[in-house]
Amino acid sequence: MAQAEAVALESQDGELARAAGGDPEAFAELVRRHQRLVYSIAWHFFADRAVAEDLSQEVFLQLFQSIGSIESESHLVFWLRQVTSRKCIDHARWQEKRRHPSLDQVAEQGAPGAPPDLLENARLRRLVAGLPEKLRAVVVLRFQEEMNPSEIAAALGWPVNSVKSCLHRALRMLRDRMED
Amino acid sequence: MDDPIERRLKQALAPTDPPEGFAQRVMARVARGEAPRPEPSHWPLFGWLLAPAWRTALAGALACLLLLTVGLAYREHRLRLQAEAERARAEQAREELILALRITGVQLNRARNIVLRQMDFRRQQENVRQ
Repeated sequence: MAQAEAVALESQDGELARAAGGDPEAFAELVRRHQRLVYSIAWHFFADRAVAEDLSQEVFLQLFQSIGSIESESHLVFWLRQVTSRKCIDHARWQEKRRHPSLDQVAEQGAPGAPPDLLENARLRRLVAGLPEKLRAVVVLRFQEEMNPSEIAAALGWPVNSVKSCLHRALRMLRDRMED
Repeated sequence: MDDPIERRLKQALAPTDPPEGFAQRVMARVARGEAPRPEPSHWPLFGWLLAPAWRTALAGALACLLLLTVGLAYREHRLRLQAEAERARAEQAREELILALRITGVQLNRARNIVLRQMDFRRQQENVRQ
């Protein structure tokens, strides 16, 4: 089992090296392998498919430019989480100034006939997407990526205590809004 | 994660696949040689100031301004210290002069008393002789 994992990691690192060497097929394979991670962060951040797709594409374009500086598969995952979260925060701040409602958010509000669990999840996603951007980033990385506070702190470049306090505030706000 | 809201969040924020053809669309942009867009500026009116060419000039100007302000403040501080020291020296000299005048006054008084006593003594002796 451990041997199989080691072989898989070795092959992924080889693919990374080929992508860094300019092999488009290897890079496309990297995109396919990590698109779920990147897209999910952006989707849960904005609850807007168009914005999520656009931001995710931007992340991979940036990866294509920086692929030479990526050292290993684990470094790649760290880099993707970091760049995606930062792009999401920046975009949310910029969006905040313009304040336009997303079509997905409007559509998700009224989905008649959907099972109660799905409705509940959609409502929770909307509430997460309505949190202040820093809290949103922490919640998405904590519950989607299952990262602990120190990993989140490393990815966002914040102190661990700030991450813990953001998480605490976010959960309190979500609990309050769920009860409304 | 015992908290019910944490369990629900984990469920609601489960990873999701992007729409079909996502990787192809990314690769098409890569093939066209597209670069990622620059980060949106949070201060659009002053965004031009953050362009690399202006950033260096702005940093230099701010550094010069800071040095000038610090230099002027230091000069002002030195002048104030100098003035205070001169005032203290003048005050000390004034007190020393007053003390010297007092001492001189006391000495002169003493000499006058001696002279007066001697004059009285001579006058008394002359009276006795007569």
